[in-house]
Amino acid sequence: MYKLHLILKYLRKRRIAWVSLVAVMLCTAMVLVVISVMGGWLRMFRQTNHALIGDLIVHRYSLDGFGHYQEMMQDIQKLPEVKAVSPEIHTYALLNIANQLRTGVQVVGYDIQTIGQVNGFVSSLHWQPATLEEKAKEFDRNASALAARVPEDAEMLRGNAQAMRNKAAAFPSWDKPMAGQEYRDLLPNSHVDVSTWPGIVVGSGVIGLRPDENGVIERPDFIYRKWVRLTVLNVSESQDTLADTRVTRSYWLMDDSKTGVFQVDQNMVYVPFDLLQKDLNMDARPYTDRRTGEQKTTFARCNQLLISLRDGYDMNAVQPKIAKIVDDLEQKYGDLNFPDDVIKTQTWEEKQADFLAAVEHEKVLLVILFAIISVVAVFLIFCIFFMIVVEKTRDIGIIKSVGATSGGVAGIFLGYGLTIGIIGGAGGLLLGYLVVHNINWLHAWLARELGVKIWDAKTYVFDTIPNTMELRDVVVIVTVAILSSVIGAIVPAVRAARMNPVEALRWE
Amino acid sequence: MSRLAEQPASSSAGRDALLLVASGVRKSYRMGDSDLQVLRRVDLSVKAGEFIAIEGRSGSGKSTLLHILGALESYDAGSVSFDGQDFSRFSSAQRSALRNRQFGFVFQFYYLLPELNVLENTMLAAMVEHSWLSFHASKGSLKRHAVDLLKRLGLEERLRHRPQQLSGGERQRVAIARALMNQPRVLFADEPTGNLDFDTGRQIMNVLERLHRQANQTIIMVTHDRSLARQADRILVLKNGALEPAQA
Repeated sequence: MYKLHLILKYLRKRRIAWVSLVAVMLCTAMVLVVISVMGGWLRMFRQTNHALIGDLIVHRYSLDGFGHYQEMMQDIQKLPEVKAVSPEIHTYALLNIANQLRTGVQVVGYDIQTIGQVNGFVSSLHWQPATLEEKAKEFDRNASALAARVPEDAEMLRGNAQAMRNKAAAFPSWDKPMAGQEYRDLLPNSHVDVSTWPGIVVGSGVIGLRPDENGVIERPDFIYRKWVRLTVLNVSESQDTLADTRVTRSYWLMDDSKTGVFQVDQNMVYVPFDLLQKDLNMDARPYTDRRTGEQKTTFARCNQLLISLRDGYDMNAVQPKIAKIVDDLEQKYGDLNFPDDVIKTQTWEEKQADFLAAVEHEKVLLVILFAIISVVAVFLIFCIFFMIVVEKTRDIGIIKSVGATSGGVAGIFLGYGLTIGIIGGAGGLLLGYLVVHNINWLHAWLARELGVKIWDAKTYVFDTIPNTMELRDVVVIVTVAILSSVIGAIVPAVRAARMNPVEALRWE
Repeated sequence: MSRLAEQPASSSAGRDALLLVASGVRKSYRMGDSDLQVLRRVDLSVKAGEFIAIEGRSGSGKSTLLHILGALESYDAGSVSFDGQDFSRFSSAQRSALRNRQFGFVFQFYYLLPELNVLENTMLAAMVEHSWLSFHASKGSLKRHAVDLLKRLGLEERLRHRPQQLSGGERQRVAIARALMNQPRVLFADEPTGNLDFDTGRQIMNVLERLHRQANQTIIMVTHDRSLARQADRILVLKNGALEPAQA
């Protein structure tokens, strides 16, 4: 009984114990914040890379790509483990948005019907069925308001609303979100029907869309009324030079994609697979063999195949099966592979092995950091408790003189440490939660008020700081904080327990 | 409940039983390269209900002897037994239990816990004795007992005060109340008035004397003041490391 009573008394009356309590709280909060942010970053990094690639990838380094991919897709799709396969083409391009923005970008050609089944592109788009429906309703409301005064405009808005609903119904698609007349009105002097131009999706960072401190992105309507000219340089195996291979195509900016990966959102634009394939001369087309004069057809090419597996299958087990399909086709056609640039079949982890290795190193660093902070906490508690034991030497003598055992005296200080660990850990959890939960607001405030910007999206890939806590991390960190407090109290507790009561009473 | 009131004056039957016996007790302290022999051969028999005063000059080893008799300190040779049981057979925990349930201590410098109030200091021995559950089960009666003790010592207005808010005499009375809380069979008093003025010291001695007379409390008191020692049944002098009867 006396142990708990004295622990609570000492906790209330000894201010120095508050120092250790605050120390435990701050250490716990600091580790929680660091582990949550960095751990969250590591998780996001893995999840995002997985989401961008899919489970497995068949690819070739060269922009030439590889042929016979349709046959390859068919064979891969026959594997029972495979959920979907989607071809992809990528290259570099010059982008011109309404003569207001000219920049170099990476352009990716996706098959919109299948890409959603293998990676997270479709869910990264701004226009989702729900947002399309919401916007359609807004157009309808505005149309109703204008119907009496400007019936032509009202009709246009209704057309836009219908286009929105059509796009939602066909989702995912490359359909543009507004009525053809809207586009024609935007470029009335054009000598072609501009409403037939295809849609292009741009990375949100390409057009400067950035989340505010609350993580919300403001998207003015005019964004989706911009024309875009994309100039690509086509590459084919038969051409030695890039001269005269420039192809420019006009698009309408129909959507933006926000994957959360800074470099991707900042540099990438997305167009229909077949259009890019055609512009890059990677489609099947007839040609005349210069040596024989024979009429032939080139085989269609792509740069990569993205593959997703059904739930429950191990990508490492499926990877050799797909590699065999690729090898068999190479055997069959002989012209699929190139000596120095073979087609690789890799899991997404193998593809990103360099980055993931760096990420793993970060994890090791975090563990070391955690260990150091725990040791610091232990020493801090040790020092403070040692001081308390010295200060309380006479009290220890008094307690022993009324019959407390050595174990009981040790229990007072161990319990004291435990209590400080529990309260400090709980306080640290609360503080850590508040910091982590509001970390993007805090970061924005620091940047605004003090000019301090710690999180740079260019370095950390993501433009927002991870702000979630993992239950497992919380349990481990708070437990270690409590254990550290108890461990720090062990030596002082043993010292107190071993005190001779008479010497303790005489202590000055 | 309180021995201050409930028990009758000392009976001759109780006084004949030997409660505490020390035989040939020796104790020395290591001082640098040499040993300082404090107790050379101490023999003492204490009957239940006796009030013994031990006199001696400063540094003669009075307090050391009291601590040895009270199982607070070890000895080098000889034997000490309580109720026929030799201390040397006791484990550390048994010695603690002895101090908690059979012995009470009053020190010269009071030694109250500054974080606890008067009532809590008084109840400290009971808190040590009981587990959390059993303490709370009997908290009411224990508290009543403590309050009763404090009332009889004239501290009923000071229950919630802290030691630093009390005078020296009040602190010593709290220390006496704490020592009596578990109704000890032997009360050890180490210069209980040594830190008090004459009048206050006299009041404390009256408390001890009343306790002895009314409650048959066995008391072993260490003092260097003959006038205080005269209130005891027996006066012994510690001289050259041994006890001898005081000269009249």
